[in-house]
Amino acid sequence: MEKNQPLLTVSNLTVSFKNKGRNVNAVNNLSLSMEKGEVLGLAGESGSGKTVTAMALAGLLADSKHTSVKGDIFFNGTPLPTIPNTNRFKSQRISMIFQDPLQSLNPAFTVGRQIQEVFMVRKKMTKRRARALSLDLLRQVKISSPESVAPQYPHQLSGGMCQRIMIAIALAGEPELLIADEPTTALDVTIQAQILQLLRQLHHTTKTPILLITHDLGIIAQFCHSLAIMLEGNIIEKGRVKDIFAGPLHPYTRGLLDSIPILGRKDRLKAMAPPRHSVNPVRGCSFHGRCPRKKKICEVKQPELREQEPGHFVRCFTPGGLS
Amino acid sequence: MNNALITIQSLEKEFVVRRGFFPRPKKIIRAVDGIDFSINTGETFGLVGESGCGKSTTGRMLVRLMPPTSGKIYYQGEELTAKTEKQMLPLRRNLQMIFQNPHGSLNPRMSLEQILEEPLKIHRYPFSNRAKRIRELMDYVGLSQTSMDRYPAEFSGGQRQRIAIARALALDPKFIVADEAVSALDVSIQAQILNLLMDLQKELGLTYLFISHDLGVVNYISDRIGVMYLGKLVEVADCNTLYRRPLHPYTKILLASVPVADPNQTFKAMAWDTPEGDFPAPPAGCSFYNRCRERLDICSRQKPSLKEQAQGQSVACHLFNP
Amino acid sequence: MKKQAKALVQHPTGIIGIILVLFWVSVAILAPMLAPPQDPDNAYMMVRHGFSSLPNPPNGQSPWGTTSGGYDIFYGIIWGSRTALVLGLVTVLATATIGALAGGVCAYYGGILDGVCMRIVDLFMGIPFLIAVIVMTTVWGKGMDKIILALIVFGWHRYARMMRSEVLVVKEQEFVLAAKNMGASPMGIFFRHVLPNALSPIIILMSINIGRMVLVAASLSFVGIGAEPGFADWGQMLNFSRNWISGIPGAPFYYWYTYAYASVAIFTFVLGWTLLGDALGTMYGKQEAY
Repeated sequence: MEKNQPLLTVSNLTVSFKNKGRNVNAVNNLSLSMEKGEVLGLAGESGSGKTVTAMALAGLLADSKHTSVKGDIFFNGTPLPTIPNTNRFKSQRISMIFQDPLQSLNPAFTVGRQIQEVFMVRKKMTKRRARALSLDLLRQVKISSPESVAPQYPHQLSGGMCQRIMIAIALAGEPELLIADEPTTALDVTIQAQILQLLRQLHHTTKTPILLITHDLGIIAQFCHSLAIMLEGNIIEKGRVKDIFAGPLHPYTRGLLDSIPILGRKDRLKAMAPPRHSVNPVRGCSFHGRCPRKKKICEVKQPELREQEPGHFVRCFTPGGLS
Repeated sequence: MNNALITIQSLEKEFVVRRGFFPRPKKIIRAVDGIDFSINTGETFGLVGESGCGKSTTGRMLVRLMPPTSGKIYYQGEELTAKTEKQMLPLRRNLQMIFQNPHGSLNPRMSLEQILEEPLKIHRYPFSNRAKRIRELMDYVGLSQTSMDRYPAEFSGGQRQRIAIARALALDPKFIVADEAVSALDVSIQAQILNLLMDLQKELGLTYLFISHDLGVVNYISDRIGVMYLGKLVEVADCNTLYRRPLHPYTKILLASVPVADPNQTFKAMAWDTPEGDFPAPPAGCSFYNRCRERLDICSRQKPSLKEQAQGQSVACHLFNP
Repeated sequence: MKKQAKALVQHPTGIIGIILVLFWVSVAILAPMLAPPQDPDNAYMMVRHGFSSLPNPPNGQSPWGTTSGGYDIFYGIIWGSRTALVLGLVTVLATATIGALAGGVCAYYGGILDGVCMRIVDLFMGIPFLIAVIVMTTVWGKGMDKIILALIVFGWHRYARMMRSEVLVVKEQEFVLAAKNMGASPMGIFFRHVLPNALSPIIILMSINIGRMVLVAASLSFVGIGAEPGFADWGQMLNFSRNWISGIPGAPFYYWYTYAYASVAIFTFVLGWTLLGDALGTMYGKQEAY
């Protein structure tokens, strides 16, 4: 296998939901690639399709009467079917962590047993061996007394603790990719810092690539190597975090960065035009209604994602404000 | 006489958690555990802290949505806590609140017009002027183009929050408690609402208590900030001082935990590592004792009280009050 | 409202429900025309063609035949629809009003009132519904009015419980706090903000219960403790057919007309209201989702 082959390649992913006879595209012809060992942030506001993308990648979306999933996903060079496939989970190449840890854990079993189960089912281990490994894993996610935590039920633990358990379960399968969907949104800021720190340390030791989905650009800035920004089901800018924060090329990215209050700075925020309150597709660029540098062409034609600077892609006719 | 609009003194709120039907030892939760501060006319006082620290309870007690267990609240020198519900009614128009959830704070079965008319009705605003007042309110919050017979479900989150702000403004209040008013909104909308609140403050001379868990937001909008931890006010300072020179160890941790949207600033929380879990505070000592890295012997025995350290900066910590 | 009506019509089982309900409502309204009574002052008493103890198959005089005792089946079904509708509506409106107010007020004000009220509800929950109604009707005697009263006495607590849990949720919502903050009176908040937002599950339960009440009344009549003899009531008509259900040797369906019409009537009536209730349920569920 080639060395420089990307870990994950998604091309032309389209996910649409049928609602009252209308098709609504949650993800619209999205293409994305992810390198080995990288932490990629997928950012966007609510309704931009970031969670749906992650669910499609993890195979959690069924192609059914109400949902259609189209496009190709290549993982390590082999195609992943876009239909849900239990085998993909058995082999556990992709693990996922969700926003609400308490809801993602089974309330009827102790947390220790839920981690053990992964070893027993996926790796066909004996109970004793699985138990030992699960305690090890709890130590790895920085739980100081795993022996006392393992026999507890999820509701007896705090939110931050449950998220650590979720991470342990995700790691138990030794995934080749970890998808974290808003993993710290439900947590307090000090606990969020601990969880982010934990994820960062785990990434250092295991080198497991992480796809981090969040609406918080602060987390992206502190935690990710590269960043893809989504708007209305599509990626509008992608590149290294440093490049994008230093010189965003898309007016939407510019607007987002200008509207975040940054600790220690008090200059007035520049508010963007509000998102449109409609799911109907628009002609041309999906941002043209809110764009401060709109041109004639933007209303008719959808721009392509182009490499404007090395490694920095943007979907805009006037990238960086060039006129 | 200073220009304090709101002053609160040793405010406390206890919730009794009754377990089951039969009398059993009651469990008492001290949501707010004796706090003092004052808010000056025309300023924005930010109240920041993590979930369960009592910041929302404090906000609700200030507008008398909840009676305090003990302690006093003064509004322009009048003691609110001594007033009956009937005596409160004329004062209520001065004390308004904006809630967190733009989906929950508007009655889904009332049209925009009905929502904005309700406070005017309750306070017997002259009937002939109501329509004009409603239009004026919609102008204030930038909704003048909207038709009046639409229902909350037809509006986006940002628009709904504007409606909620318009409703709070209807009675010409002096003081508004904004409880996590932008937390449920996307960043682009959040910035608009924050700017709107700041513009309205200038235009109408409002005083805000701005409650949020988001330090970035609180820091942006507030003049002074109070930091709460487990029902206690641990530090009060003006915004810049708090950011540049935090004194309380909890304030430091809080500031260090915020991931700043700037890749050139490093995440300070890297250095900070405390065990995860529940931290039962020693009953006699400082509530932060178990998580504190700078704790002293005295901290386990005696509760620190909020004392002024420097001009306008008060802290409740034994490190500074030996 | 328009939108809701549209959503209801788009619901396929909802349409069937509405059609069935509308059908029976129109039958009930048009009863005097469809089956003119012999004695207009006593229209609910079924027309009799003689006093034969044997059922009579459909013939020119009685299009759907007669039951034993000579009661006209067609007449009974038509006028029975009125009985069913009145019984269903009266019991459900009464139980829902009593229950919703009791549960709503208790939950809204809370405290001791709530505690006492809910213990009373618990008490009623502990009484087996059918047995209680049977005891009451045996004490008071036969008659539709007594059945209705018994159904009300032993039916309101369901609404009270449902309303209570609904109000407990609604009263914590921020728009209720906002109204309080404006200075609205507790009564004003209850009737303007809490009640309208807590009613939808009650309406669903009401629709389903109209059918259910009719079913209970029919079973009471079937065991012979319901309507007085000769009263146009579907349950009673089934009671009349009890001895004939098994037919005659070699022809099990010989007396089919004694039970078929009444069974179909009860079935479609109950189904109609239940489907309508289900459709209302999914509709309100969808409404709450956004």
